[in-house]
Amino acid sequence: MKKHICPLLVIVVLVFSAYSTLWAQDTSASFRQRYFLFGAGITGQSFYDEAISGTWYSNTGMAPLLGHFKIKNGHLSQLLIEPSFLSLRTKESDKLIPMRVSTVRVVTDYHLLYDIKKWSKKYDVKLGGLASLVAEYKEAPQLDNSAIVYDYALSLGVSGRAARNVRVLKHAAELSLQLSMPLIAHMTRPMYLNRIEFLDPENDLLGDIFGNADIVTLNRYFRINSQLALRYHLSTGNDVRLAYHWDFYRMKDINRVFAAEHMVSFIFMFRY
Amino acid sequence: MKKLLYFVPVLFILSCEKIVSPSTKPSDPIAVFDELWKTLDEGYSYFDYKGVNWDSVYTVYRPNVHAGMTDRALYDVCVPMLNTLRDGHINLRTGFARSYYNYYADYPPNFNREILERNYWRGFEITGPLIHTIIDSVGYIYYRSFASVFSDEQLDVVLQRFNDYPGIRGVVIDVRNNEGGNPANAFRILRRLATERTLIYTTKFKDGPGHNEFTELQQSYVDPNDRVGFPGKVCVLTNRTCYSACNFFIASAKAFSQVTVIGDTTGGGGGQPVGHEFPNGWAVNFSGSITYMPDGFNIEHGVPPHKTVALNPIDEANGIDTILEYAIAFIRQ
Repeated sequence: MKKHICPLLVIVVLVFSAYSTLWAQDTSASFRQRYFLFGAGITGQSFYDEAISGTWYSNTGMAPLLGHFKIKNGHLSQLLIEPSFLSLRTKESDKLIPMRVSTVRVVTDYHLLYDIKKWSKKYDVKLGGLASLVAEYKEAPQLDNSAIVYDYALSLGVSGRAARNVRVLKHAAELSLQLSMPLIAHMTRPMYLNRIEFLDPENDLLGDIFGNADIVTLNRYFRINSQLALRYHLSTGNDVRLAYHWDFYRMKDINRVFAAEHMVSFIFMFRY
Repeated sequence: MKKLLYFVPVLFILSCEKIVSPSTKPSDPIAVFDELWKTLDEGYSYFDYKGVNWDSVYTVYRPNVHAGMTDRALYDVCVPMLNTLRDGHINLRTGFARSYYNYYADYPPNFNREILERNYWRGFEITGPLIHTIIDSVGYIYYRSFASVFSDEQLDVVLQRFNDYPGIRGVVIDVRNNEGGNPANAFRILRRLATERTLIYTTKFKDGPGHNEFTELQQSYVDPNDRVGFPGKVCVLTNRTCYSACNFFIASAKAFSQVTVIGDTTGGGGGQPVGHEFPNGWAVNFSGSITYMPDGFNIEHGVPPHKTVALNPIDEANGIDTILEYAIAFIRQ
């Protein structure tokens, strides 16, 4: 039963996010802006994973971005999904020593932010919560049957955003800085020696992955995520957003993993 | 606009993950040797079973490692150290070489493919990686490597051929010189042997750095499926080169009453190989588990056959495979 709890939690959070951002109907004539987000980013990812090696792996690539953004009466919600597929390597990697790790990484963040008392006439400050899923599957063939390594954390945390209106090239725009940090998470990492029990004909890979799952707090799962964004209002009513994202997490279980991502993204915000 | 610049230092401070992350470990010869020794110390599963004092091994080999030595010189120290564990699942991969412990070198081969091809396999067919023919009303399958994948449909073709042959007496599965691969291919055959849910072995996995830190014993079962089965008796032919997944296959096959294993003891390889990579790019794989047959027999050093039969040199000179002839006669009894 334990292994089914995690996927259920993921589904519940994602369904709740989609519902609350997409389909919650506004019956009042209040101020409301809703956007679908479609974009892409240049991502630079790196990790130091003791389940693989005591060295840093890194590489850059492209990643699509999908999501939804809504402001209603000053409350803001955003769902952003970022899948990426990269082959990371080390500085020592060469044709004789590949030192490559293929990764599939999915980061899904849902922010729900509320207006707080005005601190400044210039800055719009919001605080709220974060529901987040970080899932990364890594395959390091040089490790034989230990090749499959994974990071997974489904978390709840806090988030804050400060924004102000600016003019860029004589056009109205919004500059914002957003910070988020999970506080509690359902996390799993590989078992000792990255064990996958495929000596057993009835082996269940999902069961192996979630067999080591635990509820953890900051000491075992620390993640911080920042985004500096310039949102540019187009005359069509749509917006575009140029942003720099930084995402860092550290997971500690049998061994530790440190992972960072730097991304420059360009997102079209289609208002509907 | 100037105030916008306040964001910039904040951003840079937040982006410095290197401040809170470790640096790459050193990759000098001493560091690599020590990490190799420690990796095995905390992960290898057979120290007690093999009676190897790993601390003593360190004191013997560590003095031969010094700063500035070449990769080749370091390799030449590390490999003899690893070979003290006498384990074909231990390989040091360095880019310029991959070490290999030759677990079968001290035993007779008990296999001569040329004799098989000339005198037994004439007119053979190949379905996937399975070489098959029928010899004196006995079906014959040669499977060279468990790394070669075959499908259930391909196995159906082979077994249906045997089942359709009038007067078929049984089947010989020849896995001599099969050095292993993926156990999933073994399970595919074993399900055709099973007539009921059958315990094939138990396994405990390393679960911590202590030499005796293991999981509880975990039982592995094979369930029958409703696909084409083996007709009659089944003989499985083995030799000392039968290793790893092949070793697991033989241990499992002995759980089925209609199976008789004939030939030599298998080469062994009873641990699930796991791996670790070092900062200089070298990697090592080694056994991280222990598997026992249902009667508690540890399969690391090989599984003995039901009938020990060797390839007779005189027979071999006359083009006769003694082990296969024995199996055919056994099935035809």
